[in-house]
Amino acid sequence: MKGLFVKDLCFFRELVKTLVIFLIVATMMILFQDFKYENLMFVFSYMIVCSAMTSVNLIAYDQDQNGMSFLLTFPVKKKDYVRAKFLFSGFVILVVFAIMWVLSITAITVQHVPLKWESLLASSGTSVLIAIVMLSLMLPLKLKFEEKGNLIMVVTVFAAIAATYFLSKGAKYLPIDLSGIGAFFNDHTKAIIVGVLVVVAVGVICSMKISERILQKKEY
Amino acid sequence: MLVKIEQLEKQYPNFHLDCSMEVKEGQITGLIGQNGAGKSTTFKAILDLITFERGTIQIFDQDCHDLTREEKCKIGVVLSDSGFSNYVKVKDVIRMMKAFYPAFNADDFQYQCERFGLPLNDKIKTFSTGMKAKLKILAAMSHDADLLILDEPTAGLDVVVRDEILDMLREYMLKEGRGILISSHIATDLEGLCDDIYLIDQGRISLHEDIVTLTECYGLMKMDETQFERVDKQYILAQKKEHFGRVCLTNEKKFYRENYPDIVIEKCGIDDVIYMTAKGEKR
Repeated sequence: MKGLFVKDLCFFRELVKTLVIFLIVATMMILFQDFKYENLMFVFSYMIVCSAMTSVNLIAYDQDQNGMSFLLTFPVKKKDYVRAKFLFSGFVILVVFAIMWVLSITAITVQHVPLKWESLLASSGTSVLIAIVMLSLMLPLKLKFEEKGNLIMVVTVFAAIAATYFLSKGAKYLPIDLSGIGAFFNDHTKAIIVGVLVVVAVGVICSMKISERILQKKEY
Repeated sequence: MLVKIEQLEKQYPNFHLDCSMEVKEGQITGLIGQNGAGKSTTFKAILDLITFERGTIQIFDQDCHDLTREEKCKIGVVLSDSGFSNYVKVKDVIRMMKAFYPAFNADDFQYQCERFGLPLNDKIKTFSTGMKAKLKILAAMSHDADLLILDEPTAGLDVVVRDEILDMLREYMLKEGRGILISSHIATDLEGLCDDIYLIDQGRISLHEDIVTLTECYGLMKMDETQFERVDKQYILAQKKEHFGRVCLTNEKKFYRENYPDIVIEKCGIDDVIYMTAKGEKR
């Protein structure tokens, strides 16, 4: 596992330049624009999701030059590979999360804006969850379809956005009172958070198992 | 026994592999054959990179699917069609190998890289084919493995470097209990290196001999049609028509030399065996 982690770190150095450029742009947006919590949260989420996608895209480096077959001759098991990918992506998300928190607190302090802990926590937590969900979707897709996995992921995300849009537009024609949903969310916030966390955790486990199966069946 | 393959069968749409072989301790075993004969498929099956329909493969007396990390650490591998990513430097390879293999000797590896002209700070994508091949071999030999599985390790290397690498392999074998399974399309490499040779043809092992028998007992006989008519054919393995008559591969050179002194019998190399097995008419 240690070897896989070190390997990913070596590859990550190749991609980290892009993330650093994003981070510089994000810093300028946060520090030198009129402060708005919405902007801060957008940049926060963007950076977290970008870092997760960057780390999962390291699979392409493993697959370069038919490298997976060589990698699997090292003292690792196929399930180690999947676990190491999650571990490394989690590590990258955690580091970027910490950087973004420092950046956010700095921006709030510099711009003399009142600190809204709850809002900051909720938004940053949500962005991490979104990143984990995307990671869980991407990993098996990348392992199964290799380069085509990215395309399938983009199509899936656009399809999900389009479906949500049309559902929300079409909902007013349905005989359901949607205003009650907001009230329900407010009344059961804690339960919903726990529910979402459980669903995401189950999703991650399923993604790991599916990825392991894909790798087991795959021939190199 | 380091490797034992028993009735391994792997089916592809246009290819069927059916192979049994062994790699013993203290021996260098060569697997030779034409391109597409099944060498790489056999190697990949041993390394658990592909599934197979039938048969068993044992490495260190363990099923190849059940090897522990410690056992896998004892195997050094060179694959013909893959290697380290183009995006890393030799320095990164050192970091990775250190993390993967507890017995990795970083100082010696670095020394060998410098000796073979591999720059530590250049990305592998800037390396020539030969440099990449050297790096793969050095990495495979760097972590005190008991078994080396080398698929076409000398491909792309010039004669001088090839000789140096072959010397390193001989030196590697000085330690007791080690073994090498090697394939190469350069037959002379294997002739001077291997103790034991398997010839694979269209997915089947068509010949298995130790190198002493191969060099001392095998020969190519050249004869005209009348000589061919009267010759005892029981030790002729394959024969082929030529403009002068027939050329025959035998594994009893001595028998024909004693009984048919008028027949021209030439020394036979591995290339001749491959050629006659592939192109000749088998008995």
